[in-house]
Amino acid sequence: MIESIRVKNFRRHKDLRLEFDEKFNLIHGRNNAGKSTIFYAIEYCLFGSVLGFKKISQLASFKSKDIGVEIIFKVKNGDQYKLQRMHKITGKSRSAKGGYTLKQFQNDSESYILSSDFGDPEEKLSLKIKEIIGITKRFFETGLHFQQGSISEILVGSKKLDIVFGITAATTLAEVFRARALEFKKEAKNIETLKMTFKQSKKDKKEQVEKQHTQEKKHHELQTDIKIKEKHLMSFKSFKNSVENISKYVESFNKVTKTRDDIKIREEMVSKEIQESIQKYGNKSELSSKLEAISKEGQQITEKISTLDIKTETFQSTFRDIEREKGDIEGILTRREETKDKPMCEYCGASIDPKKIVKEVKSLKEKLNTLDSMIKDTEVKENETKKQIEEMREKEKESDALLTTFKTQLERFSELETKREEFKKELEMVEKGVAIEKENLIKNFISTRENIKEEISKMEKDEFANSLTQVVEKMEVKEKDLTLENIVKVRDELNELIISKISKLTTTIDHLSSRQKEIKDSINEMKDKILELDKQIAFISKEISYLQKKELLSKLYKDYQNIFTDIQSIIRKNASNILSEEILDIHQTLSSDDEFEKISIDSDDYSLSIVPKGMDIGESYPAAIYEGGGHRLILGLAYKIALGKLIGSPPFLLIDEPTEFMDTRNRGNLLSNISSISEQTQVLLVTHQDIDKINCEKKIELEK
Amino acid sequence: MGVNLEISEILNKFKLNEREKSNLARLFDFTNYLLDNESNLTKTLNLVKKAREQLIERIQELFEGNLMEQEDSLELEIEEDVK
Repeated sequence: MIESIRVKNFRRHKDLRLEFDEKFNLIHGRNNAGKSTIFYAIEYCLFGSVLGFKKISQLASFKSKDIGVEIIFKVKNGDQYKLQRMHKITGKSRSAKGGYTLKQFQNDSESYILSSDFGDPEEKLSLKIKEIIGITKRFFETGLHFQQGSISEILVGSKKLDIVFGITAATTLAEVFRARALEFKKEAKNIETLKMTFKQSKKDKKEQVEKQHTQEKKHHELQTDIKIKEKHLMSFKSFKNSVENISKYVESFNKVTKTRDDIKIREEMVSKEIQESIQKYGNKSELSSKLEAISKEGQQITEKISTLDIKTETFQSTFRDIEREKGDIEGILTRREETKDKPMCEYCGASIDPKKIVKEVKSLKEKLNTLDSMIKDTEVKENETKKQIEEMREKEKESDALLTTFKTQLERFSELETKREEFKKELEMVEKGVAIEKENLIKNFISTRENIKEEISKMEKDEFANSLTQVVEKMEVKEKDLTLENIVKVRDELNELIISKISKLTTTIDHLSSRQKEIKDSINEMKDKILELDKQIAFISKEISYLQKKELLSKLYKDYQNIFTDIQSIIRKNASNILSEEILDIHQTLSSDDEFEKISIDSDDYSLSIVPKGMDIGESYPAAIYEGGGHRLILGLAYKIALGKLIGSPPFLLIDEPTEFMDTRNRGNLLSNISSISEQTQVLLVTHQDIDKINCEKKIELEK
Repeated sequence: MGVNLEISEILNKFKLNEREKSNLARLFDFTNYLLDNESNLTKTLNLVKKAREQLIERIQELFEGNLMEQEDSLELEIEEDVK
C-alpha cells in the first residue's frame, strides 16, 4: 500500500504531499484539479515513465526545470520503503535526465537499497519492485491503474495481456533458445570430424613418442658406448704417457750413460797422453832431472857466450888501436908526401934531411904493413870468436827451446794428471747417476707393467687386450735380466700397440659421435614434430571442448525452448481459467444485479464472453457488445480487478472515474461495492460524483 | 503473479536443478522487463533487435559464461578413447 506521495512540478502540482489510508481513499475535486495526475505520478515514480506520455517533459509543470515524485509504501511483509525519482529538464528540446533512489526504513532510519547515483540501472529497480510488490509496469498499466474512459476497453481483450501474463516473455525465450540451439547445433556439426582428427593426431603423437623413445634409447646406448670407449681412450693415453715415461727414463739413462762414456773417453785420452809423454820424456821425476840438467847446461853456454863476448870486445879494442895507429902513420905518410920536396919539422918548421925522411917513410910503411897484418890477424880471430859465439848462441837457443819444451811438458803432465783425477772423480759420480737412472728406469718399467696389467684385468677380453697381455708378458723379466735393449724393444712394441689402439679408438669414437649426433638431430626433429602435434592436439581439443559445450548448450537450449513453449500454454490456460472465475465473482460483488450465468475468457485474445441468466449455457455473447455502457463498465472493472488479483492480493488499485456513464442507482451500488474490495486491497479512487455518498476511510480534495 | 502464474512455481513442474530454475526465473523477469518498455517492442509486440541482443547477452551471462570458462574435462574422455 502507498502510505504517502509527494509530487513536485508534476503537471499542475507545484508541490503536493498526500497521505493515504490503507483501505479506501477518495480523491476528489473539480475538473483539472489534478486528480488523475496523482496516479500518473505513482506510475512515474515506480517505473520512470507513464503510458501515453512519450517524453518526461510532458509530465513537468510549465517551464519547470525539474520534476520529482516520492512515494512511501509498505509491502505485504510490513517492510516500509521510500522511492524517490526526479528528472532535470534542460535545453530548448526539454530533454530529461534523471535518476531514482530506493530506501528501506529500518528502526527509524533509512538505508539505501538501490540508487542510480550508485550506478544501479533502471532494470534493477524494476526487478526489485517486482520482487517486493509483485508488479511489473505492464501489469500496473493493465491490472492496477484503471484509466478514465478506458475501463471497458479491456472487454475486447488485448494482445498486450500476453505480455502482462508473461506469455510473450515465454514465447520470446522459447524462440531465442530455439534460435541459439539451432545455431550451436550447426556450429557443433563438425565435432565428429574433429574428434577423428584429434584421435589421429594423438595416434601420430604416440607413434612419434615411441620412435623418440627408441631413438633416445639408442642415443643413450651410444652415449654409454662412447663413454666406455672414451674411458678406454683415457686409459690408453695414460698407457701412452707411461710408455713415454719409460722413454724419458730411457733417454735420461742414455744421457747419463753417454756422459759417463764421454768422461771415460776423455779420461782415456788423458791417460794415453800421459803415457805418451812418459814414453817421450820419461816420468815426471825424470823430466824434472832433465829439466835441471838442461838448465845447467844453458847457464854454462851463457857464461861461455859472455866470455866470448868479452874476447870479441878485446879484439875490437885492439882493432881500434891498430886502426888509430894506422891512421896516424897514414897521416904522417900523407904529410911526408906533401912535404917531400921540402921536408921540415912539423913542430918547429926546421928542415929535415930528405933521406931521413925517406928512411922514416920506409919505416912507417913497413909498420903500416905490420899493422895491416895485425888487423888481418885480429879480424880472423874476431871472426873465429864471433863464430864461436854464434855457435854458442845456437846451443843456447836449443837449450832454451828444450827447456821450454820440458817445462811445458811438465806443466802439461801435471795438468793431465789433475784432469785424470778429476775425470776419475767425475766418472765415479756419473757411475752413481747411471746406477740411479737405471734403477729409476727399471722401477718405472715395472710400475708401468703393473699398471697395464691392472688395466688389462679391468679390460674387455678382446684382441687388443690379448696383444697387450702378450707385450706385458715380455715385460715379465727378472730385474737383473732387464737390459736397456729389452726395455726399449718392449717400449716400442707397447707404443706401437697403444698408438694403433688410440687411433682406432679415436676413429671409433668419432664415428659413434657422428652417429649419435645424427640420432640427436632426428630426436630433435621428432620433438619438434611432437610439439607441433601437441599444439595441434591442444587446438583441436580446445575446439572440440568448445563445440562439445556448444552441443551441450544446444541440447540444453532445446530443453529450455520446450519448457518455455510449455510455460506459454500453462500460463495461458491458468490465466484464462482464473480470470473467468474471478471476473464472475467480482462482477457479482460490484453489480447489484446477478446478471450472468457464466463468464468466460478466450485464451487466444483474452476477449470476454458472457452468458446472461436465462440463456442456454452454450449461447455466449461477446461482452464488448453487451447492451448498456454501465454494464460494460462494471464488467470492465471486474475484469481489471480480476487481473489485479492474478498476483494474489494487489498492493493497491488506482481507479479513475469508474462511474462515468452510469445511472445514479448503479453508481451508488458500484461505489459502495468498491469499498468492499478495499477490505483486501488499498483503493485510490478518483471521482467528482456523489462524493458525499461514498463511504470511505479518507477523502482527499484537490483544489484547482 | 499469483500462485498459478508465478514463474518460479511454474518452473517447479519441470525437471530442473535449483540453479537452472533460479536462472530461468531471472531470465524470465528480465524478458518481462524488456517487454514492459514500449520502446523495446516492434509493432507486432516482438522485441526490437537491440533488446533482443540484450536478452541474448543475459542468456550468455547466465548459461554460457561459466560453462565456456570451465576447464575442459571433456578432452579426457577423448583421450581415454585414444588409449
